[in-house]
Formats: sequence, structure tokens, C-alpha cells
Amino acid sequence: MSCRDVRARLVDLLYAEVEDHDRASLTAHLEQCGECRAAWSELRSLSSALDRWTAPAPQGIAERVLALLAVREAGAARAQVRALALHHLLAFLLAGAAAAGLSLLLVVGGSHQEESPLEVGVVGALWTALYGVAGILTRVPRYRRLAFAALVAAGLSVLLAPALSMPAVIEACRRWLEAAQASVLLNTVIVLAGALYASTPVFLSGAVVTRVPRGGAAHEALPLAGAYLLLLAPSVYLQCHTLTLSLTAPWVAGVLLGSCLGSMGGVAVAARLRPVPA
Amino acid sequence: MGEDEQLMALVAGGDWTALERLLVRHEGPLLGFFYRVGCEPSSVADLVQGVMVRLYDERHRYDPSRPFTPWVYGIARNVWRDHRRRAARNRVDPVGDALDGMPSSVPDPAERLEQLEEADWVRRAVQRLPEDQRLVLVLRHWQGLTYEEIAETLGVPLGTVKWRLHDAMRKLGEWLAIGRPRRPRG
Repeated sequence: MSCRDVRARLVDLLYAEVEDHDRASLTAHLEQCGECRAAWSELRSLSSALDRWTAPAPQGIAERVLALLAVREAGAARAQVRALALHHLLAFLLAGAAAAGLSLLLVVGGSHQEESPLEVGVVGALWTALYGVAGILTRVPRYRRLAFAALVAAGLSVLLAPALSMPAVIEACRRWLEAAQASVLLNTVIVLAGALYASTPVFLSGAVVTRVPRGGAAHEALPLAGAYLLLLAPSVYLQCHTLTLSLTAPWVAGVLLGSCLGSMGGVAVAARLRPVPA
Repeated sequence: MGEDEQLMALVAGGDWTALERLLVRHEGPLLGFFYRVGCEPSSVADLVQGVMVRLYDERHRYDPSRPFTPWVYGIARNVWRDHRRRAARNRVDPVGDALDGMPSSVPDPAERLEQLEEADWVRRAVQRLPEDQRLVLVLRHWQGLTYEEIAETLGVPLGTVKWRLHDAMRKLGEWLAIGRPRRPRG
């Protein structure tokens, strides 16, 4: 390799844009040729001088852009909802009503309790509205995964309701423990059953549907727990409203605890198994 | 698929967390890009913001099988060009203040040694380069793009990228050898 060839490749060598065999030839030449070595040394010192020209540090522009896009998306989502044709809104309502009807069938049918038609109608309407809003939110990019995860979790919990509804749990516990309602053991079992009932679906949904960065689980889990509890509220109401407060309180406490722990656990699993790159 | 490509695919699917990660990862490099290609410092933040918004708006056009870096710097270059066109219409030279004081001929080294710090002198020398060479140098030296990525970003042949970089380094070597302030000994 001549000096002329070597000088023509020094910049490529500096930026690691040479093949391995070329690098070996260039390095061998530089070890032998003082003039080329001096040119190489000058080039490296030029590169070091360029490195000393530093750029300004990040200034929170990413956060400002995210806030700007969030406002814009919210406006776009409102415009999108306004622009939805009547038949789209009807489709959301019908889907919500179908989901609410199925949920009522599973929860009320599984509880073996007598419900007044008015009460069932009011709860059904509320559920329709909640499912409908969650359905609309799945079309908003910012809330898409959260809404999907909450809907999946609520759907699973409704499927679980016939097998693990509160009255059924209490009846089973009573028979098993033969204890009074105020028994500490009975309350503990009810809390645990409530926690299990609420945590299992949201754990599974959080683990499968959500996407979070490694170590960033906590602030993603709490909104999921909140949305899930909202969708679950009619089910909990239907299971509890005919029972005394002393029985209802431990079940509700268990559901709250289970929702938080289940969502945190599920999102933590998602962050560990399928983390969004940092 | 690299991390940026994964994140961008998630962004296209509507994932807000991925968008946040992607923007935070690229804020510093984009700031450095605009700062070094010669934008006036007061516009750099606006231009970075412009790239980020355009990145989001064009998320469905991105092909995750293609490398992300040339794509985003292609956007950055277009944003810069648009900015320069607007500046030209408003009769403002976007690199005017950057070139302020830059001599058109070889400066007196003794004067320069007294007047300028080394980094400042490097900045002025880089901004004295022709625009196409400056872009290649910034993308290769500070942004860390490979020759191939630069060729894709700028839409020019690989040989052109090499020639521009070699010529830029040759000129800088000459200018800086003459004008670079020496550090005090001891």
C-alpha cells in the first residue's frame, strides 16, 4: 500500500469505515512510515478538537412536545367523536349494551339473588355507558392500551363472577367455618377471596396487553387499576347491595387491594418480559 | 430490529410510552445536529420540536424494516431546509450570527490565538464549510451515522459521502492547523 493510498484512507480508518484486512494493512503501514504516522496523528488531534465542541444539554423539549401532542390528540379525539356518524355512535352503544347484558346475565345469574327490574335496568344502563366510553377510548392513541387492558380485565372478572361471586364465597365460608359473621377468620377469608377475584383478571390483562419500560411500572399500573375498578363497580354493587355492611366491607376492601396489587403485578411482568426499550 | 425501530413500530401502533422514550432518547442528538449544522441558537429548540411533531405525524409512513436513524435525520434535514426557506423570505440569514466574525481569508494566527477559545474556533471553522460537507461531517462525527446511513439520509451515492467528508476534514485540518489557539503550557 503506497503512502498516497494510505493518506486517502485515513479518514475512513478514523471513522471505522474500513474492512478488517484493510485496517491491518493500514496499521502495518503506519507503524513503518513516519510521515503517514504524523498525518494520522494530526487527523486524530483534529478529531479530538472537534469533540471539544459540545452541544447544549437537553432542555425538556421532549416533554413539551408530548404535552403539545397530548392536547392536540385530545382535541382530535373530541373532533373525531363529534364527527362520528350516528351509526358509529349507535354501534358503540349497542356493543356496550351487549357487553352490559352479558355481564348482567353472568353476575346476576351467578349470584342466585332476587334483583328488582328497576335496579337491573339502572345498573345495566350505567354499565352500557362505561363500556361504551371505554370502547371510544380505544380509538384514542394515548389511552388505547389502557382502555383495552381495563376492558379485558373487566371481561375476565365478569366471567369469573359466577364461580367466585361474593354471596357464593360467603356461603361456602360459612359452611366450612361454621362461624359467626363477625369472625375474624371469616372476614379474612372474604378479603382474600375479594382480592383474588379482582387481582387475577387485571394481573393477566396487565401482563398481556400493557407495554411499559423496564422499571416504569408503578405509574402505569395505577391508572389501569382505576379504570378497571370503574368497569368492575356495577358487578361489585350487584354482589354486595343485599348484604350487610359487615360482610360487604371486607369484600370491597379485598377488591380494592386485589385491583391495585394485580395491576401492579401484571404491569411489572409486562415491563420485565416485554419492556419498551429505554 | 434495533431499539429505535422497535419503539417507532410501537409509536405507529399508538403507544404513548414508546413515543415518550423515543423523543427523550433523540432530544439531545437532534439539538446537537441543529446546533452544529449552523442554525441560530434561538431557533434550535423550535426545530427539534418541529422534527418531533413531524416524526409523530408521519409515524404511519415509517417502515420498521428500514433503519430509523436515516429516516429521522431525513426529517431533520427537511425541517432545516423549510426553516431556511422561511428565513430567506423574511430576509434573515439563519447562519448569519454563526458566521459573524468568520474571516473570508486565512486569519492572522496571532490575533486568533488571543481572541478565541478552541471550541469556538472549531465551531466557526465547521460553519465555514459548504453546507453539503458540513451536513456529512455533523452526521458522521457527532451523530455517529455510518457512511451508508448518511447516503440514505441525504439521498446521495456512497462515494459522494466519502468525498464530502474527506474534503471537509482536509479543509478543517488546514484551517485549524493555522488558526487553532494553543493551550497555555504547564
